[in-house]
Amino acid sequence: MQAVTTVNERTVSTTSGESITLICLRGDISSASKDVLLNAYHRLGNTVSRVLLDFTAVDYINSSGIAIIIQMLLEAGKAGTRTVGIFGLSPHFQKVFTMVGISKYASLHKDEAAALAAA
Amino acid sequence: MRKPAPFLLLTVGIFAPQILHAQSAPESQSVIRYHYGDNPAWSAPSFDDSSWPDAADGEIPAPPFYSDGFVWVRVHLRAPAEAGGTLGLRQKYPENAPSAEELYVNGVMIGQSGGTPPRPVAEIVLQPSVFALPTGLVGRGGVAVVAMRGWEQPSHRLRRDELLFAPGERLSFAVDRLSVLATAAQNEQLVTLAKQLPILLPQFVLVLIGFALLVLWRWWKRRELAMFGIVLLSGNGYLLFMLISLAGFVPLSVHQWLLLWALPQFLSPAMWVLFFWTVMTLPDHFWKRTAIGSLVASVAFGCVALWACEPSPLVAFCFRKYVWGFHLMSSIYLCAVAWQVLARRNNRLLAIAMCPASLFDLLGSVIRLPPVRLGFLTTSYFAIGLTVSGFAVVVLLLQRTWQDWQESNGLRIEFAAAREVQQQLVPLALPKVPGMRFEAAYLPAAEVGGDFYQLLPQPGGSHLVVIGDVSGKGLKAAMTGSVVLGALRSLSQEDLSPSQILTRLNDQLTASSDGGFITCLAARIAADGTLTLANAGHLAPYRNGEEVPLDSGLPLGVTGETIYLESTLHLGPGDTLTFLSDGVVEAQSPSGELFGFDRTTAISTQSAEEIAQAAQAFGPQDDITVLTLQFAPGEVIHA
Repeated sequence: MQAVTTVNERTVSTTSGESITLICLRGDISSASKDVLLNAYHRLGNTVSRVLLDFTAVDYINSSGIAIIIQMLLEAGKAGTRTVGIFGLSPHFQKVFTMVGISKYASLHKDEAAALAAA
Repeated sequence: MRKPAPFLLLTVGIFAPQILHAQSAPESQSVIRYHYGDNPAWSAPSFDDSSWPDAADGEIPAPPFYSDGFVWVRVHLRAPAEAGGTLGLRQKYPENAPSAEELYVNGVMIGQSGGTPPRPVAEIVLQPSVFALPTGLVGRGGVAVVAMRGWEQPSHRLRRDELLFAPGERLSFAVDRLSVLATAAQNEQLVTLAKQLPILLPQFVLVLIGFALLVLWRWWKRRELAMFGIVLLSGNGYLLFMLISLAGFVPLSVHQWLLLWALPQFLSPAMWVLFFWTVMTLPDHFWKRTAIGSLVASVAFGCVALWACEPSPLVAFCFRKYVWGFHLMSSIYLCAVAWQVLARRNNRLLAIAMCPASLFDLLGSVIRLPPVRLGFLTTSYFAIGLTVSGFAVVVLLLQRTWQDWQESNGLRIEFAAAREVQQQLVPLALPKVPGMRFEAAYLPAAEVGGDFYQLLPQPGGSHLVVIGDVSGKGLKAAMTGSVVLGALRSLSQEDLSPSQILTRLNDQLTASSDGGFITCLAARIAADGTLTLANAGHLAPYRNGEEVPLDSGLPLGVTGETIYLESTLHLGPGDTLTFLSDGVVEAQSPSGELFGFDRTTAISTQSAEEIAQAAQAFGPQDDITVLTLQFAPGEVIHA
């Protein structure tokens, strides 16, 4: 049985003082997560230029979930004004994300500290 | 025929009316007098009872609660002068007859029902009602002094109307030929039964439906059918038991009757509550437990009150509080119905259908609903509510079940169609290819997935191996895979490189994309072992147990701007290539652990069947597809 996807957002500052919006995901990411994920992403204001997706509390991502992530990244890429990073993935899903080409559209990091340091 | 305990009648509020109205007019011709207390001399015909209260209106108040419970009733009757054969005495009871009695005629005991103290045995219904008189006890045209020594169980003395025999329900006696009295008694019992048939038959039908629901549950595996089957068996079976036992068709002592009564008395309303909570998916919270708890208390109070043969404050308390538990349960139940209908706003029709009996139970306790008279039939609102609820809920449940069955049948048809389409996507019989040994394994998951692979010849003598996976499940995924397959067969006839093939496929699929995607790996193998690979988000293949590093583009169908880069390597004699679907690496154990890439790498040199079986044994989540190739130039090998 799949765990329900929940999303919350918070803003952090890098050492250089730049603010980054974190979208923290929790549960399983599947087709049922589409509205939750895309609504959270679309709620971000136009001024938000840096976004990090936190997968630390995500248990499982299936192929439909990956499709949704790709859709988000393509939207960001088309707008051209927003960069997206990803952290908190297990080694397995880091490999899967790389395999499906997501790494070309978003930087993958081990954890939040690494993601913020690279920002 | 009569009813033994008024508070039992309160339990279901159904039985008194139809039984009472089966009585014919009283037959006693003399004044009935009564007296509390007990004195064997009161059976003597010579005893002067003229100072005893007159029960000419049929009203005999119940003995005081704190008393020995005895009440004597005397009446003087004249036997018919012209009668031949054995004489008999017939006693007709209305509701609220004593718990036990001894009958005397002219000082001689002619019959006994139950047992009086010091060895009390309270009867649920006194039997029989016709007694033979010993020869010579009463002469033709002579006087029969009838004395009834009655004993009231403590709970009976607390009856609501404080009358032993209520107005219009008079006790009566008659002396006549025994055969005449017996025939009349039998006929009246049959008439009574016939008059009760309109009440008995629906209950009987509902009990049969209860059995049928249990059978349907075995077939359809729907828990709500089994639960309501038990509701009907316990509830309407209980009503049947009450009707039959209280009408005197089954002679039982009160203690025997109690042993049969307690379980269904609890089970019937408890199953209604549990069924409602389950079907409406209400939370298992305080109120449900309170409703069940109040039922338990109520039944316990009823058992204590009815079992006792000696008056005590505890018996009085239990009697007074007995019905409160049912009213509390009904109140909670009706609040839950109201919450379901007004706040949760689903299953409203079913919720409404389930409330009439409880509604009438509460109304009856507040405003004393009168009996319902329909021609010769007399029943109660509670009984009507319970019966109507039973039939209405059965209809609604069967309707729901039928709709669900039709939907699931549609899904089964779709599943079969999807599986049939899917079989075309994973051909286990691969074409013969000189110099290459192919082996394929495909293990379907419970749901039809979108795995596919093909081995297609290309112009120039090379062969194209394509493996992929459509995101999603079911017929849609299988049909998308079928579209990919058709496009691939067309493209394979052109001399295209793997990246060109993926690009062309991507263009076609992006144009018709609806949000899904297809991972796909294309490999062209030339006769000399040159291997050219392009990847659209699929698992990289393994060569001799090592993952082949590949640059991967986005899966097909996501965006038309994706560029697929190619990698080239050379296969030597004996080299093996293993292509997989994600069903292997994402096989998941019951604890949630993934089979993962490390285990996959470790077994990647095994046969396709062994790899697939290993992943499936780990715990499959998805279709598992494995395709292996062994390069063996100079051989002509087929799978």
